[in-house]
Amino acid sequence: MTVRLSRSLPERQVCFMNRDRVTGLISVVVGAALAAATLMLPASTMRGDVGPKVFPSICAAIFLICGAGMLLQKTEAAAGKQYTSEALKRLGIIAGIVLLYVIAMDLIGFMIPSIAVLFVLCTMFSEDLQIPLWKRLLFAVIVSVVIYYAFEKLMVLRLPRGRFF
Amino acid sequence: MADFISAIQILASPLCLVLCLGGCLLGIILGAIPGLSGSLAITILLPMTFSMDSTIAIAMLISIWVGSCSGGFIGAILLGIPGTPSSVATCYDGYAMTKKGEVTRALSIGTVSNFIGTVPSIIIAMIACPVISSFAVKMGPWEYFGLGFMAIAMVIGISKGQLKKGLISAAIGLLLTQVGYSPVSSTPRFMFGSTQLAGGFNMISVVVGLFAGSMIFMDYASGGDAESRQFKGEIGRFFFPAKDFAENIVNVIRSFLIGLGIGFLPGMGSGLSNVMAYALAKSGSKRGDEFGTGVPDGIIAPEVANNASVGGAIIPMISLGIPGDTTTALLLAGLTIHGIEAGPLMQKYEPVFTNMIFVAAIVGAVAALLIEIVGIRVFPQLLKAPYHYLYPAILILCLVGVYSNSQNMFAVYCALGFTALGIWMSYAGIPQTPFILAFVLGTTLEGNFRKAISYAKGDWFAFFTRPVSCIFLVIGIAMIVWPLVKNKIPLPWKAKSE
Repeated sequence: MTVRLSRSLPERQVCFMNRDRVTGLISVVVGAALAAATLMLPASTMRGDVGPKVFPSICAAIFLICGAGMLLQKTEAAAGKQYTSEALKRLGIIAGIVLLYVIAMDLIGFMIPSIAVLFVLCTMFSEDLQIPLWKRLLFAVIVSVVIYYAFEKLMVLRLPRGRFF
Repeated sequence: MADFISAIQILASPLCLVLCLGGCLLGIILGAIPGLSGSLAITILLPMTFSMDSTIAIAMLISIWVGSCSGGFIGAILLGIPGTPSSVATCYDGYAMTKKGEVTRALSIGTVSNFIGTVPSIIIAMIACPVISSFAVKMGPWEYFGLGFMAIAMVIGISKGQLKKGLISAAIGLLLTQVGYSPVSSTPRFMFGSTQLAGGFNMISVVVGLFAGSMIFMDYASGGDAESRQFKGEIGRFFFPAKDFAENIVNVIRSFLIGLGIGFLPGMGSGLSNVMAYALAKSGSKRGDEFGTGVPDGIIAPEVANNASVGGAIIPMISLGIPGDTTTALLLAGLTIHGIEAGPLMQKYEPVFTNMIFVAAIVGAVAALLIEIVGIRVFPQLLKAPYHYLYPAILILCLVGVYSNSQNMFAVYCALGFTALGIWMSYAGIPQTPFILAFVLGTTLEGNFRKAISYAKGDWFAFFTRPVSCIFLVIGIAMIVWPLVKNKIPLPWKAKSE
């Protein structure tokens, strides 16, 4: 089962697995998993309390009913945002860089990863402008130092120090 | 009246006015930055007030609170990132108006809406404090559950033609509030052995991920060039948007009453009132279909409602000593530190001080108005900053804001997770508003539901035998069912028009 990510509306309507049906399928799977997980929850020991299972059960029922409804409907209700394969690639790149930044911040603290990621993101967002290297570097250093001083010194809020330090 | 005049005389000192103005400015700035808030400013400044005169100290803290309630709309309008959960609904039309190049108009509408929401609500609180608080005390868990249910149902109901997606969105929000220890019985749920999940997910992680993270990621993915990203509108001076308000008199009154009414319910507050006012404005407007494209109605409703909650929140704080949220809890702590005990006897034994709190809130609202009027030429300069500098700086600031709010890296990882969720929701066409509202209300909703059943000794019909709760539930059910059946019911006026 392959789902193409960008296509015109008439094409979407005739395709067997349109986006709504994929969402419906995900919803049904989440609902079933949630229902199974809810069954394993302990009952409340408090007298008169309906227990912690009621709300998860309601959520599971909504996922199952609405998901099944979306799976069975013939046409796609409303189109969401379209992505080409190029857009997905760019999405993966920025997500990967920010994830690496958060991991690095967790390990070695705020300052160095922030300077690095600000420089990289500035370069990525200015790809068609050819901003000089020194400007991007200066921007990254200034923003990191300003954030550090505003949080650590002015507001006395701790920034990540890193697990290795 | 003599007490009221004495309160004004105390606050009229130049030092007090300067501190109120400074506090308000600080509140506006922190309120505009996601992850930071008025409660942070009060936490930082509270120890500094120990040596100050009590009246001046409390007046300054109140000004910070009023400023922070007001500042959230700036980020929502300029960048589409709400500074606080109370400005979530402002993003939809505020940011759309900015993208159309009408940033000055959007900010002017927001500024006036803030003032219209705050000042009358404080005056009403001042006059009717004892009456309204006695009504608030009578609200039980049945009514709280009914109100929360109605609010979520209303927001789902406005997801035109997308009822199933609206319900799924609300279910995701509710599900995420069930992670951690459950209310009432403290049963651990869906924690997968992680102690980090014991307290559930952080609200700031959700807001940053869903709005800031997903917006910046999707903008990069769309690959627009610098020219297309650059703000092209005119930045002008503040103007009074008389025409916009003349067309929205009903909207203003309705949103004000929603904000005031919800404001005095502990745990509900401006996070709920802004979305509920937006939902009602959209369903009640002739141009409901245009909501989300940058209509003034969509800024007026949430901004009047969330600021009217200020007056609402003062009522239980002063007359019952009950805080509505973290910020009012800190204000109560400030009062206690300065030797004032809030509660039913405060108005009797400290009449001047009580009036001083109301007057300080009005002074804070006036200061916020002046700062925002002057700032209207300054704030949008942010949009003139090149996006290759602006977006990376915002992203890092937001992630650092999440860390400083929770003081753990897990919340930052969660923000990335919510970024992914936001991107998927936008791809699947799932509306975000029901998710946000269900997330804000989930714990309160479940806690009150379980308490209500427990208090009624297992009688589920108690929800319908109490009139206020029954009205809320019937409206909520009708909001979900009506879109499904309205085309199948032959209504006489419909036949006439055909």
